[in-house]
This record gives sequence, structure tokens and C-alpha cells, in this order.
Amino acid sequence: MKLSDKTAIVFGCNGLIAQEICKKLSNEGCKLIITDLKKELAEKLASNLKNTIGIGVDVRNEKEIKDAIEIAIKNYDKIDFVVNCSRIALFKETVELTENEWDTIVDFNAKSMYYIAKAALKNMIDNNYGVIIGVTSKTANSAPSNLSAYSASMNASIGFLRSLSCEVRNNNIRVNAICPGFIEHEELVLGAELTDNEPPDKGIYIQFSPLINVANEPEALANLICFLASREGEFVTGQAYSLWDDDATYYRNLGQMAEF
Amino acid sequence: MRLENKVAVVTGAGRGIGKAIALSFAKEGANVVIADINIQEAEQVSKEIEKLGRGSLAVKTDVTIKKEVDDLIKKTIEKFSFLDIMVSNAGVSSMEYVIDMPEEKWDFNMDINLKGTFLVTQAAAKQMIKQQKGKIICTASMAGKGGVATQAHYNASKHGVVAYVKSLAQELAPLGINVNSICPGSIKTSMQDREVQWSAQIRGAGATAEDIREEMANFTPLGRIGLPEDIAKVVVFLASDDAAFMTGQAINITGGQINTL
Repeated sequence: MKLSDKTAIVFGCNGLIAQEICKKLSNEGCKLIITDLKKELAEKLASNLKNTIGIGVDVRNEKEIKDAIEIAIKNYDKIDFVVNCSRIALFKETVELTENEWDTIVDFNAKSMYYIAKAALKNMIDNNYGVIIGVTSKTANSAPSNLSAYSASMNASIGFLRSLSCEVRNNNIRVNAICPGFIEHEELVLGAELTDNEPPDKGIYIQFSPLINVANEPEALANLICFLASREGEFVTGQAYSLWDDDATYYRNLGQMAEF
Repeated sequence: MRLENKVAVVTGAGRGIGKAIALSFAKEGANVVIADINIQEAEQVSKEIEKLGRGSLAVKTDVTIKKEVDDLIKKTIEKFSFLDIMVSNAGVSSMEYVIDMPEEKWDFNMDINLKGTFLVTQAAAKQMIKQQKGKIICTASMAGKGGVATQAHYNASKHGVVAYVKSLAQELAPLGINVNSICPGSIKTSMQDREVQWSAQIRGAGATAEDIREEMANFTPLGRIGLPEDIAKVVVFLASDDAAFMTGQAINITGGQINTL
């Protein structure tokens, strides 16, 4: 096991990607705190994993994030890894986007990164060790139509993490992002719910390349996270990784809807 | 003249890069609406534009307030009947380590730089869609591509602008509207004056603002700090027909600094 004696806190576990990440970290020996806006979801996933506690956290609320970090420290004495998987999406033309929708998306996806990093850093600096990983999106780079707030929030997260990686280099803390190549059904469902829009049809998600079988991606991303967290990734910081090249540039009007 | 009789709106045009863009537009023949949160500075620039023989208007605009932004476009159309060029330029910066960063500092940078860009370009896009024509240019930064310590919030906001512009460009391309961003490097403005002061303070050990500025010039392959006019020239190009086939781009104007891929 690559991550024995390590502890991690994962924010947001409603999607397949986050669930694979939690499973992988647990299987590699990590003790986990997992959180979600929906407490019962986090608790249910936690009940299926070893040494895992599930709690409810709204990542738009700094106090709830601080409390979750406190719970982690109280139970496991330290935090080695933080993974932020909190993402919501709304597929809508920019000219139709309301101010409230913009705020909700940017706060949930990007400001959460700031709250979480700030809350976790104190313990990591004390321990002179830590790994912070943001789950962002390929849209940060390829930025397709009808996803401007989402793309902006994801690249904002990457910009934040890049800068943070420079600040904490001397504290033995590494900061990276991974960029999934599709937008999960659960992100669209939660995005609609938090912005009072109609939920998407069952099974709808958004993919950026017709060439990739996204069903394989969550597990591959979980492996990537494990690499970044483990000793193998100990020289990697300030990076934003995706799993394939930007074919989105060829498929211009993406954000094409697809079904599982 | 490359922008004869065009109508342009520039936010944050009271000083610095925005002012240089506004004056360059006027010299190329455009009428320019000067939007700034500081109305006195806006009025002064507006007078300079009129002295150049172009139409102008100064509008007090806080880009974080949707109503003020919508009013800016409304007043522009009332006076000039058209909107050819929108430059979303208003921006701020501050310096803070993440561990000590108060929430207000995050909001200050994100609200003005990123949300302001959204509100301004959305209002402009609504008008331009009616016209089936227009050019939108947003001031991002080399911080929209690279990362440095003490500016994580600023970096986040400018990275956001770069991605936002790419996405908006895809949406508006079929409607004949070009959307690009610019990524200035180290440019001599009042914002930079503050930044070099802060940097010197953070550095300590007797470092002065001039030391920091000299270092910035040394980090720049072209060997000097940029001027607002260096930026304005590129923005004129992007606003002109010469850039008709460019959209969704983030153009570096950094004197060759290479932390900006």
C-alpha cells in the first residue's frame, strides 16, 4: 500500500470521480474524512470504506470547512492530503446567465478552493508536509461555449493553486490540479439545484471528446491522484494534469450532451 | 486611421492602461466612452478625447454593480447609437499570502476582475448581438497564465478571465463578434507602483521599490518595464479589422517574459 499512515480529507463526493478517488485512497491505506453537501451521501460512502468518516459540509461556508478540518485533526492528529472535488455545472448561454448563477458557480467551484487550502495549510505548515489537490476540469483550458462561468471558475482554481504552490514550496507542501475531461451528471444536477434551474434528464453528462470512453476516466483520475499524493509524485508541484490532449479545439461547440 | 467613427467603451479608463487605450482609440478616429469608478478622472480623460476632436462621455461605473454596467451601455447607445468596441479593463490587485488572506481580499480581486468582466461583457454582448457585429477585448494579465507567490487571489481572477473569454468567444463567433483577452506583463502604472511598494515591504532586508522595479526589468528579456502605450497599441490592433480572424485568444504583451506559456 502506497499511502499507509497517511490521512486525507476529500471535499465533495457526489460524483463518480470523487467516489473512485475515495476508494483508491482508502485501498492504499489512507485514513479518510469525506464530506459532501448532502451529509447522508458522505455517510453512505464512508460506511463502505475502511477507516473513513463521512460528514456534511457546504463548501460555500468557511466555518463548516474549518470544522471539518478540525474533525480530521481530532480523529487522525494531522492532515496529509486534501482533495477538493466540489464542482457544480450549469449549461447555459452567457447572455442568459444571471448574476446569482454566476456567483453560485464561481463560489462553489473556486472560492471553495481558497477556503479549503487556507483552512488546511496551518496544520500542514506545522507538520512541514502536505499535498493539496484540486479536481478542476479540461474546460479550464479548452473553455467551450455555454460553460463560461464553469470554465472561468475552473481556471480560477488552477490559477490559485499555481500561485499557492510557489508560496508553500519551502514548507514541503505540494499543490496540484487534475483536469477531468467530462462534466459529470451529478455536477449538472447539483448545479441546477443550487441555481433553481430544471435538473438535467437522467444520465445526461457533458463530454468534450467523442474519442474517449469516459466510463474509464474516473478510475484513471483516481490513479493519478494517488500518484500525486504518494512519494512517487514528491517532485511534482504547481501542475494541472489532464489525461489526454486538447481535441476539444477540433470539436468546437462542445459541451455536446451525451448519455451513459 | 484604423478606427474612424467607431464607438468604443473602455472601463477603468480614468488612468493607467485603460486611459492609454482610450486615447489611442481616439487618435485612430474612434469616439470613446470613458467608464471609471472615479468620475473626476474619467471626466478629465473624456475632455482629452474631446480635445482630439472625437465624441466622448464620462460615466461613473462600478463594474461589480450590474445596474451601473447596464446603464453604461444604455447611455452609450443613447448618445452614439452603436457599440463597436468594448474594452473590459477595470481591474485591481493586492498582495497577500494565502494563509493570512482575509476573505475581503479574495472578494475584492474576484469581484472586480472576474465578475466585473462577466457583467461588462454580458451587457456589451447583448447590444452587439442586436448589431451582429462587435469586438470585445478583456484585460487579463500574465498572471492569467503563470503563478507567483502572494497573488493567488489575483491569479485566480485573471486565470478566470482567460478561460471566460475563450468560452464567450465560442458562443459569439457565429454572430460576428470577436472576443479576445490581453495579458500584460510588468507595466508602469499606479497599480504597479503599489505592487513594487508591497513587494519591497514583503521582501524586507532594506529592499526598495526601485530595487523591485529593476528586478522586474531584468526578468524581462526586452530589458525594460512596459508602458501603458505598449499595451494600447496591441488593443488598437485587436479592435481593428486587421484582427478580424482572431478570436478566443489571450495575447501576451510581456516583453518576452516566459512564465506565460
